[in-house]
Amino acid sequence: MAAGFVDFAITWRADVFSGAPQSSSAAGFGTVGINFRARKAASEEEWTGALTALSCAREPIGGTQATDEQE
Amino acid sequence: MSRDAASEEPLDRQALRRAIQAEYATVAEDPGRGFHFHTGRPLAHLLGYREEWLRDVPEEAIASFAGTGNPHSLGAVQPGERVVDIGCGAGIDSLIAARMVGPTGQVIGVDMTPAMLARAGRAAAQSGLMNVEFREGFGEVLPIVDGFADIVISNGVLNLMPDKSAALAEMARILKPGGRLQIGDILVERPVPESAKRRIDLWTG
Repeated sequence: MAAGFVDFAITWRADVFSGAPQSSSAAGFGTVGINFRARKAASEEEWTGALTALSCAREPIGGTQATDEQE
Repeated sequence: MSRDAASEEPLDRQALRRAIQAEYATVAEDPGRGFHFHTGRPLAHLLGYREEWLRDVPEEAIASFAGTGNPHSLGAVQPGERVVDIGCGAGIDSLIAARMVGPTGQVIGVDMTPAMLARAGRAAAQSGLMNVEFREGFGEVLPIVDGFADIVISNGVLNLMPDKSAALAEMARILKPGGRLQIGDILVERPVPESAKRRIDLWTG
């Protein structure tokens, strides 16, 4: 989002390294292939709105709702 | 120098780029050699590439394919659109996109490895497509004007860029407002220690 993208989504993930001809470090880090998509915000307003939406209400464990302070 | 101080040396980004270029030059020049990742037509099938996409792509481009995902599965590319393929390699995704955008569209593939660009150029010539070109460049400093693209695609490349923030900023710069990212890449499901991030051999192997 810092780069100006909205609507980010990872749509697919899978092991794409197993069985490769040479061994790799991939398995040691649980590396998987992914597809992801995003969209450049159509306007400054859309982007700032998306950033604002990230500072959303969250539910603390066992307590009432609290809201992150916005700068 | 203590062992702890030595392990804290920053990543040499130029050395990393050289190592990645060397690795992928080998993928371009000797694709059947066998790597720590899958390549070629078997990889395309593993990643769900449709036969109808591959049918018109020269084997020159398919054989050196080394992606990790399937950008074309993320959304339809429409006739007339402009697509930029970052880290295009031997050109498989660029050539697929070129068929999709048709004669009124345009595709630009960018790669930092001359051997891959040479292969992509030969594949484009074989295909007879006139709406695709390839340019040498880095993902962090793209040779593309602002707001050029309707879609940016990339496949298995962003993970190899040491400055991902700069690369994503460049993707945003060259996209039109509302333009789409359709990316294949990797993620790790376990934490990577800072010391490991400075090891070039782990970036490339």
